[in-house]
Amino acid sequence: MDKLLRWLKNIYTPAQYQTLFLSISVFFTSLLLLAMISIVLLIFARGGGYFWPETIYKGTFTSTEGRSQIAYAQSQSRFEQGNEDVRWLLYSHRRNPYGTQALVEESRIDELTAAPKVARISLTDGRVVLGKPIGIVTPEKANVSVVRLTTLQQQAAGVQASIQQIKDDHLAGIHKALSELDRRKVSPKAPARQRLINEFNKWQERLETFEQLRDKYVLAVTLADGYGFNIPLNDINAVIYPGQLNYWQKVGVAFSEVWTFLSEAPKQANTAGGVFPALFGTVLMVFIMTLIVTPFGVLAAVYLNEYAPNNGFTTAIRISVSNMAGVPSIVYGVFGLGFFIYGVGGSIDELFFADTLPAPTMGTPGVFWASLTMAILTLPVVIVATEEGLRNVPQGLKAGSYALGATKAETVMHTILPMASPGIMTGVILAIARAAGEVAPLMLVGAVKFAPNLPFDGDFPFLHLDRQFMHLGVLIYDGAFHSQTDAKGASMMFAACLLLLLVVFVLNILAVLLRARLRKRFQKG
Amino acid sequence: MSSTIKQTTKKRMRRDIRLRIAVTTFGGLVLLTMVILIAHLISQAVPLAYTPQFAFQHSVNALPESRFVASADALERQPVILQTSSCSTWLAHLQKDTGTLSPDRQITRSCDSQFAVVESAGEHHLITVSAGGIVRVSGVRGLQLQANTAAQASAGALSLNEFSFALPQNIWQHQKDWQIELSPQWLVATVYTKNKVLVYWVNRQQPTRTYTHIYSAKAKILTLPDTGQTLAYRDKQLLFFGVKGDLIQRVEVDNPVSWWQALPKSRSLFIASEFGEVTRWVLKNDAGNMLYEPTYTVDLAQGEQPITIMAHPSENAMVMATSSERLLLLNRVSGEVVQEYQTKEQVSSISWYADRLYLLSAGQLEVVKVRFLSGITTWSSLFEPQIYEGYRTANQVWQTSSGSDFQEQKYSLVPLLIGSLKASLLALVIAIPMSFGAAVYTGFFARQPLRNWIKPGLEMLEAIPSVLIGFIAAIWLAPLAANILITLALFLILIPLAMALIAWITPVIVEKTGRWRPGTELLFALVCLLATGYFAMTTATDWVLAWLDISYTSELLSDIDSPIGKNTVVVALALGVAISPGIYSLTEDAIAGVPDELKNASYALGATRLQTLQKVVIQVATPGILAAIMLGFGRAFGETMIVLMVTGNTPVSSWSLFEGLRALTANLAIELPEADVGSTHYQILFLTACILFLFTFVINTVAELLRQRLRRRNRYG
Repeated sequence: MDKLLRWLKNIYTPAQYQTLFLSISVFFTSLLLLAMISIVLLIFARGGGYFWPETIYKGTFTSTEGRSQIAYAQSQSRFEQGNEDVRWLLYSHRRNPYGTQALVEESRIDELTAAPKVARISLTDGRVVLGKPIGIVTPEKANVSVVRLTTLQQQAAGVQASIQQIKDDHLAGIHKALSELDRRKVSPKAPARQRLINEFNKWQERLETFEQLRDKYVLAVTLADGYGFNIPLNDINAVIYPGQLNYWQKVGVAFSEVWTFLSEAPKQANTAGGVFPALFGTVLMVFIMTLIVTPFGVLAAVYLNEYAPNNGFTTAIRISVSNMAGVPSIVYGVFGLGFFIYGVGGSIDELFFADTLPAPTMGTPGVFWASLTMAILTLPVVIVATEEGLRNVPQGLKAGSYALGATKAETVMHTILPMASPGIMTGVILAIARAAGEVAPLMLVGAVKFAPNLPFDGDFPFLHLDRQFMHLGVLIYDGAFHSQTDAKGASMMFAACLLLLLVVFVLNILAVLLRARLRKRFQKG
Repeated sequence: MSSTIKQTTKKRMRRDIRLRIAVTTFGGLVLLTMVILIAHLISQAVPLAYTPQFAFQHSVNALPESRFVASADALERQPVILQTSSCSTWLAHLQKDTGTLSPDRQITRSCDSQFAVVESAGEHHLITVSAGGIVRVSGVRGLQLQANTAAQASAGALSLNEFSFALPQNIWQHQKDWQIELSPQWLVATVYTKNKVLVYWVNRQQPTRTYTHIYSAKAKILTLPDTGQTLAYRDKQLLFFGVKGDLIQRVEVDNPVSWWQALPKSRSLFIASEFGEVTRWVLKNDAGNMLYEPTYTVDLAQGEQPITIMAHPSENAMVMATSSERLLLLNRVSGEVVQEYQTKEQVSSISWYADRLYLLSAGQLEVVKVRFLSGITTWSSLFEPQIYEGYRTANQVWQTSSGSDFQEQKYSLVPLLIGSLKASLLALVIAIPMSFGAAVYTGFFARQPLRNWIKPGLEMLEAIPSVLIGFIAAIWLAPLAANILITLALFLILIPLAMALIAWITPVIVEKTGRWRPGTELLFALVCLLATGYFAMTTATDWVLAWLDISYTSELLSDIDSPIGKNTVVVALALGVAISPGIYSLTEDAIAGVPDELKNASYALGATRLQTLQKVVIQVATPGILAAIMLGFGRAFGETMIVLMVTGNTPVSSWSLFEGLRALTANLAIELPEADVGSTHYQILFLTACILFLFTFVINTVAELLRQRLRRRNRYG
């Protein structure tokens, strides 16, 4: 090494020698910057691309078995694999009209021509058909123009609504009454039962006519290979012609896709639909965590800074607290599982829910335990940030408050805490950002990849803190594990990544701005 | 008036005290939480360090005129089997309140038949052989304990016949002794006659398929039905035969064999010599041949011989009863004797259910509880190489999930430690130059406005949740890894060349144009980096491959077992990117925090910027830089999501960069939800959590102390 340096010194002028070191440091800076930019860009591009309506092509390509295929296709992502360019294609064809995904080598694609008349028809269950809508069949007319799709869809939805109404208003009541009779062991021939059965048959008949009517509203579609089939209007979620949209219309479509993504539940094994339950679970968990961590963190910081005796013990505690921030998050998860769930939860079950044992009520992972665990994990963040805020309150202000005869409590409540509030806010926001992005402990204490119910619903007591919940980070983790390749599922996961990244970035920028404000305030004070 | 003032003052004072109490309480609660956290982690792992204890629970004498044959889990109302002298068998149970035996059912048989109880994989089977050589096998679990009707009780015949077959009548008539062993597939009957020993291997699924071996009467025979081998001993020679009678292995032993017994599943075999040396032999696969080979030896006292052994169904514990009425508790993997117990009588057979040991002698049943059984885990079994069943050499293996009972648990922490260290050290190798270089640039070379943009930008990178970095590495980087490895190597060679070139031309340009806006070098470097990267990725790789004349993916990587995408290099890249911003931020603070007076003094003495950097700034900032690196190491060591998503999670104890790994953290995330609370597995997982906790806590404390030293230095500097 020394030899190398000496050699460099010999061949370079001093200015060049210094520039060498400068350029080395610049190189590493740009490498780090590049890493950050490429991560963010990748997530933005791939995540944003999930929402963008891709052009539909009519393409002929050779299948792996060597047969020539013609299909409408959307190209999803292109990359190099081995020595060949490959791309993911989503296409509909005779054998699988509801979209197949395949990794196709560029060499196997013979021809791709834009097909503006072809629509991307997304169904309510998350599947997609790429096909050319020919016409709509209604009960009255065989061939109605596709232009009237929206109105006819409303008609079909009206029929569906009346079906639902019959079910809710009449059939449900009859079922209830019948089961009541069953419970009371009323004989099958009792007149009351006969009356109910007649009633049931009457409504059932009406229901069936409505159902037949509903099923007569269909959209006729043909695929590229000429195969035609019908899609019930009631199953159609949206029909988009990507080839006919101009830029701004595409933006509009993308925004409606964003709304779907934010408001709907995942469908088709996390490859379609939205992430609402995961977003809701994340927000709820973070909210409960904030409620727990804020008073504890702030008061503990006040104690350490204002009340605790200034001795070695306090210093030791302070160092321990800041060290707790560096303890691996999974360790908190282990603690949460062992202490809260098996220990505290198990004891609560034994005391209050003994009749349902061995099925655990509280002694099982759930949103409350997750929040509590995350609260302990983020406690050091809040304490350290609050302490920084408290420490920066000028001594003169405190002395002024005491000089005016204020008690310690009044000084703390009316002078110190308001002055330190940006510091506290910074701490809380950083804690929220940390909790939103942390996944490892949650996998142990309650976050699952799929939860059938939200932790919040109409059943008493409305907020079910013992339920397991979905979390954005866990969803992404699961996506990485189960879609090993770069497929459509992954692109929805990229969209979830984008959401998580935006949430975390916004929170962090907020914290940075608050901290800047805090500094400015003290420069003035 | 003054009273109102007094009242207000009182109220204020009260409020003051109330706040003091509240604040102190919350401060105390936070401290308490920390204490509980540490105490809980340790308390769950500490039972591993206890020495297991035997606690005498109960002893009961046999029913009149009978002797104990076998015992199932008697404290849990499972039957105890006794044999009377009058050709009948009793099934009895232990009454909890009185502690006496109460007979449930008597099973009589004709007096010319023979009777035995055989245990196979934790279940007892009753075996009767009639005078005509008809063998009947019935499992105890299938028998109804209480006879429902008087008729059934008096008839007493074995109502449930799981399996039966016939031994040749002419042989059976001349038998002197006999013995039957069971496995799920085989029933092995050994019949000793005056001048030969016959071994019948009967397939339990097809009783007509029978193999008969004939040995000389001088040979001692041990059948191992779970592995399909017959072991014969004669004249210091051990001979292993297969089911069809083929010789598998012949081993000479030094000392005469006096006793032998196999553990359930027959994968471990214990053979004692006349001098009290008990050797464990394990089954291993030698190119398709299943061979037994000796491992450790336990030395008993002079003249002491083992009588019987039994393994715990789910832990690595084993007990051995000896002729001097000692009961030894061993770790079955490492052979360490952990605890001893003096039994009341000489034990002839042992059953083991959870923590309850049933020691049977002819006239007495002794129940002993084993407390702190997980204490069987020794230092050596956690960290040293062990010869496991089925392994050819001593290995450090982590393999905890076993589908069935009587399986060895492989609890070596070494693969996990290696995995964690491998990933985090390599990540450091990647992160240190990146973050140090960047910190030197923004902290020392760059102008203030540029620094104000770059620093927060890079610190944003720290805020990116690790699950996102893991996701990108797993979905995007790992599939590219096969292509990217050589590109990366090329990149590392090309970049210094490019930098040397830049260093050469920059001063020339400055001289020529006379203008060089600060910060241009960053733009310059970015462009240069992209160009070099593009060149390395597209053209250069092909050139090198053509030059070396190899097909990269096929030949270079053919000797690697794990999928190429999930190797240590990819993990280290992702982890390095994840920890760089943290190291960068602290290093930058340390470098930028060096007082200006020091730098100016250096310049005043005529030093160049580079000399000032080398001789002043870095010297002063060293403690801070070290602290930053240590914190980064702690973060990499404790990172869970990236290692969980990007590695293949294969616990291999190899330092190879092209193999997968499993880190301590990922292991916790994978296995803890499935571990039984209180089991050894659970406690060992908590031990790993303690290791993680202590490791990072120590590292962070040292780093914190270093930073305090830096602060002091700057103050006085």
